Amino acid sequence: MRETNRVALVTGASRGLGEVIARVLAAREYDLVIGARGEEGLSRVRDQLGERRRVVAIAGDITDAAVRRRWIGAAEDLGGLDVLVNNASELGGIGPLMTFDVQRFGRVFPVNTGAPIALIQLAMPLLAARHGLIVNITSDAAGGAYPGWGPYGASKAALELLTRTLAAELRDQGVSAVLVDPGDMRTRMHQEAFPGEDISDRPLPDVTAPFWHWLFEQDREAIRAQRFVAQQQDAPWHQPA
Amino acid sequence: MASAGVVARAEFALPPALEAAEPPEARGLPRDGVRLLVSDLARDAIEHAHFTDLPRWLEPGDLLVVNTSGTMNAALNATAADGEEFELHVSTRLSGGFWTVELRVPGAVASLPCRHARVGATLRLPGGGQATLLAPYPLGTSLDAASRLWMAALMVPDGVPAYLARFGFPIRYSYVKQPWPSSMYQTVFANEMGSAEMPSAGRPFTPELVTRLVTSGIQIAPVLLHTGVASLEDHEPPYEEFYRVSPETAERVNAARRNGHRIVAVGTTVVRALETVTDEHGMTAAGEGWTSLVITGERPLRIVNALITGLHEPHATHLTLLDRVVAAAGGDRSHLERAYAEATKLGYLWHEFGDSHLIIGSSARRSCTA
Repeated sequence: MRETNRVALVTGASRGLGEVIARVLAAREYDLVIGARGEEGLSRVRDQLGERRRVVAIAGDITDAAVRRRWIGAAEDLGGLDVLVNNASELGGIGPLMTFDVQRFGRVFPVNTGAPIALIQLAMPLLAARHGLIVNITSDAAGGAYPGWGPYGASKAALELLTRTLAAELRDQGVSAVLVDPGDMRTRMHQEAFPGEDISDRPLPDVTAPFWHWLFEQDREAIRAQRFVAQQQDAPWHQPA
Repeated sequence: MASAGVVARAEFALPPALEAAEPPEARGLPRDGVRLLVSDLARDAIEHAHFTDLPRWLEPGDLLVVNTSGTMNAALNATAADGEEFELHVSTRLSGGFWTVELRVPGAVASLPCRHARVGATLRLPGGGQATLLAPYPLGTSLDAASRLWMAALMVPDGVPAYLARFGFPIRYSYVKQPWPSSMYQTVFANEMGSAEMPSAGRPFTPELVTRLVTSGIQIAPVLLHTGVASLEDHEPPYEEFYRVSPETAERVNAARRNGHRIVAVGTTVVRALETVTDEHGMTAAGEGWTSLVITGERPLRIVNALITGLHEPHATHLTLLDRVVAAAGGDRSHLERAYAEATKLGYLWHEFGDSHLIIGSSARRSCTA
């Protein structure tokens, strides 16, 4: 038996991918702090997972410093922090750059790029104490130059560079940071990106569960600064090894 | 006299909670972490273990025979001339280059059987491919009969295997709630693509487990049998399937039998392949072709006397086969019913992503020296 519990914080955990990540962590016997704006979804996830583990749900916007402090405070109350998953993201509207309202950068970059860094800053003492793992969710749009996906892709590209920089800077503190591209999935965000289109051919975010189980089993030093594609066919987590 | 055994007796209902809805990896288990129900017929005992414990029931010299067939992306989206959407399941390559296919309709979770297609119908396939339904399958029925299975001509660029790899996706039934990557449908033994559905008995094997078996003196020999589509909804007997047993494997099977070791089939597909090439004296020969062999009460097993398999549907013809393995392993006729009752009670999981079942008796060696 472990002498201390393990604790994870997952943002954007009220539905979709964040909910799947929280579920995997609960199955792996992590206590959880879950955050999202949607209070109703968050309570539902807490009620589902709370039977097995201690789960603290705190609704709020990731760009709000007070909310971030409450999340980290809740992790501290649970005993510390082993894993921080920055999953909450903002699509910021899909459409050509020529008609993009540049005011909207004011939301996309703070949510997708700034807030994760701010949350990491706040979490660092707890993460360092447990040689923790930071997981930042990215997208193939970060490198794809997909028409219409410019602002979202740019914010994720920035997050990718910052994450790799962070991984190098945090080496001495024994904290690892990785990037995860979950791939196309049938989530609300994906539906927002394709309004009115049938996206039922995309797999549910549950398709990434084998990856998350695999990831949380890895030696954190060994995966430092790596970028993973969760649905990659020939990846180790899909092989009989 | 119920020689067919379980099929007549065990009309058990399979609760949905016992259907494996996702791969064990999605539940945080390694492939060899699934449960292993053991029918230890030497002691008439039922034991509960995990797949990684498998070597415990085997002895040096025992021969595991595995199926090296890889799982194709056998499902394709298809569109009829009138625009109706179908899902086409490519099953078995027949001699002459035609294929057996199953035509299905899209459903809420996964595709559903359909019988309203007609002879001569041509379906458009992705990437400029085309399928024409030539005759209801099996052949010999009236050409205008309603059918689920068809003999079809597939006209696709680059040949069917390469085409399926590019445009197809793995066949999935509604108990699996969503698509999974095709690598989840390959066993560690797969080296030649051709199965419509995963030869799933081999799925729990990992390189580590195989290494442990080999270094314990357990032998492993390959056969090939390309599985056709299952008939989950219809409970039909299996149709003809392509198999290949090499001279080297035949030789090792005969040697193992001669020396009193057990012949452990990894999957009912291996039973089918080996029994096809074994004569009434129990001599196994090399062979290749299409087999229609069905193991029934009237056709006892000639060579296989142990089996690793999944848990089977209440009505499946496979249960007759399991009864025959129990008999070949020296087991009591009521054993299978008791084993399944325990599996059901203890929440074992059914289907291709589910738990495993080992049926094994004592080796001739042990009974001679005991």
